[in-house]
Amino acid sequence: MVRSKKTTKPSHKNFEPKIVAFCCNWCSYPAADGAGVSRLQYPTNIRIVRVMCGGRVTPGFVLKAFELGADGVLVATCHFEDCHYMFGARRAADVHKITEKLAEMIGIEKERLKLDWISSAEATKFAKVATEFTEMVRKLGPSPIKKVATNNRNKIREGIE
Amino acid sequence: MGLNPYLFDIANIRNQCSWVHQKEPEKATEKAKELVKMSVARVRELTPLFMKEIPVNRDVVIMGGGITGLRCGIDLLMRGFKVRIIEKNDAAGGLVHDLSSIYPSFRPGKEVIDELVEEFTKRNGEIITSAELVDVTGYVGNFEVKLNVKGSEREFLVGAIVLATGSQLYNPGERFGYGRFPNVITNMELEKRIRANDIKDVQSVVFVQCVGSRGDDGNPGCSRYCCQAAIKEAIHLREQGIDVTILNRGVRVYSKGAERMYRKARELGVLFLPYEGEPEITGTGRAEQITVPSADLDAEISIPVDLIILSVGMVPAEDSLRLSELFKVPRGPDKFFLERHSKFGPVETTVEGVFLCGCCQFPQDIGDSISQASAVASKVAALLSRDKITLAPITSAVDEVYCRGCGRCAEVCEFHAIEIIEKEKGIYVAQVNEALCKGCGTCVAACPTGAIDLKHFMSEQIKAQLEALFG
Ligand SMILES: Cc1cc2nc3c(=O)[nH]c(=O)nc-3n(C[C@H](O)[C@H](O)[C@H](O)COP(=O)(O)OP(=O)(O)OC[C@H]3O[C@@H](n4cnc5c(N)ncnc54)[C@H](O)[C@@H]3O)c2cc1C
Repeated sequence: MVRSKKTTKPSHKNFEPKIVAFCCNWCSYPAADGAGVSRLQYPTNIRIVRVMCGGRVTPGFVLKAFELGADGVLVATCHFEDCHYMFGARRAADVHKITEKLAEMIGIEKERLKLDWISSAEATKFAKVATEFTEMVRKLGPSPIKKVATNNRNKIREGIE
Repeated sequence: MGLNPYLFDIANIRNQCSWVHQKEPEKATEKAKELVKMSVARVRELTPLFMKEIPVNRDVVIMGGGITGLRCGIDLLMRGFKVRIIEKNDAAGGLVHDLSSIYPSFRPGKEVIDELVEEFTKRNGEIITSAELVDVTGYVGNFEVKLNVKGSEREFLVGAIVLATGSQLYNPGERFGYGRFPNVITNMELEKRIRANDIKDVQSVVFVQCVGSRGDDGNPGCSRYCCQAAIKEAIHLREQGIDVTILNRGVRVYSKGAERMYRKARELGVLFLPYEGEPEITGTGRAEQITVPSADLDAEISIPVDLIILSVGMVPAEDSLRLSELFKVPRGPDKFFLERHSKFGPVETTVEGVFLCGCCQFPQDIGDSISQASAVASKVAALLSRDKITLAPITSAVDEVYCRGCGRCAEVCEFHAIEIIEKEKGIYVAQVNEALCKGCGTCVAACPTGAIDLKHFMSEQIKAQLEALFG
């Protein structure tokens, strides 16, 4: 059988995803600072939102980011063994499982969500995760929720006008 | 005076933008603009916060009456604090009590301990022996400690807690013929035999280093005391005319005076043989020969022996998990207590008011333990020399209108900062103890009604950042 050319996936080469990264104050945020100090280069797509602990990132934050137009969301915490709040990183992992389920229910591929553990000494890891996650989301293309959310918002706006 | 510090935010456009996107200036500029927008949106939602003050209890409790705990206690007594040492055994002293002599001074361990105990007691310090910690509650400046002392309960208040519970020596089990051959003993047993003058009819002694250290079973790291202790013991044996060989995986002598001690041992004729793999010990009824693959030669080396000494590593004490849970002090990957920061907070823990020194943090010799003990004493003194302690204001806060008292927040809070109280008859709400709250905000992620929020990282503040980014 010859496959029609039309079914090949559209290329997302020029697509620049927007990615929100929730970083904890003690490990991943300083790791991102460390990446700067070492001049490690990674794609510009990531916007960091600082939180005290990864365990504070509610499913609501992540879903809100997607609703507003994020193509991917990263939650970066301390490693389990040296979490500043001892159990915060584990809590983050528990909450992340719930978030993944909720995201899946509304049609967000789970590859668009990422939880990772980056200590304050792991600047290289931060740059690597930022790069790899950006490329992963770039491959996935724009978030399916983005269009729906934008349409809805536009409709609401039109309605108001 | 001036601007409230909690009305301030940094748009991190240097480390997290210009420095990491040096080859994409246009994109970096766009990103920087967005970061600034996000920051401005956040600042608009911020509210001023104020430090709170709480009173401080000036007493100190030290867990563990080894050489580290005793030294720390004396330092604190000298500064005028009331100090209690909790010791689980029936006497203070720890490992050092049983050492035949201690390098670099070569004084008997017991003599040193007796002196310290005398000074501690003379200065009105109290050593509570045969005591078991039952519970500890409270927070910096106001801890409540509950003990079981020989069956009866005892309770008191302290402002700071020092952990000096030491480590435990690695148990070789049945390895190296230990337990099977009476003449295979650990270095601690050797110390006791030397003390008791109980080394007779021995012509050849072989030490096996790194038993339970450095990737062997037990401690993944170097136990840091054993090379030097073995050299000290070897010198003593050699001076009695005994042949001594130290099978090692690299000799580490780093503490003050230790290099001199090492050279002296070599001059006296102590043999140092690097080995690889597991030594094989053979004999009938007793160990007669030890065979090891040499690290340097393509050969095995066999040595006839009368006594084999296993230089065992230090591993975390059995009850360190329990203590870690009681004090909420985390343990590292090696399961020793973890300091707040290896360089910038080496004797502090993540729990304010709880400090660490000696071998409960990592294996070390007396010199290093004492430095830490004195460092802790200054830290404690700095903390408790104030009448009041200021608390950082980033804590959780409950909106009682939305709270239905389900208790999910209290369940996830590992710092026990949240309690469910009966506000009015039949109406339960969560209450945050601001002195205990560390401000992580994991409770917020657990709350099903949105009643609890984290000050300075409020949901509205973070939402504003996201809206600014995509708006
Ligand atoms: C064979 C050998 C030879 C050594 N030779 C030397 C030497 O020559 N020179 C040198 O500098 N170092 C030497 N060391 C190292 C030295 O022993 C340690 O550095 C030192 O013991 C550390 O003291 P510490 O107080 O931290 O721990 P420890 O000596 O282990 O004391 C800990 C104390 O805490 C108590 N404790 C534990 N848990 C609890 C609890 N839950 N509640 C209440 N109390 C508790 C214990 O009973 C003990 O009294 C040697 C060690 C060994 C094993």
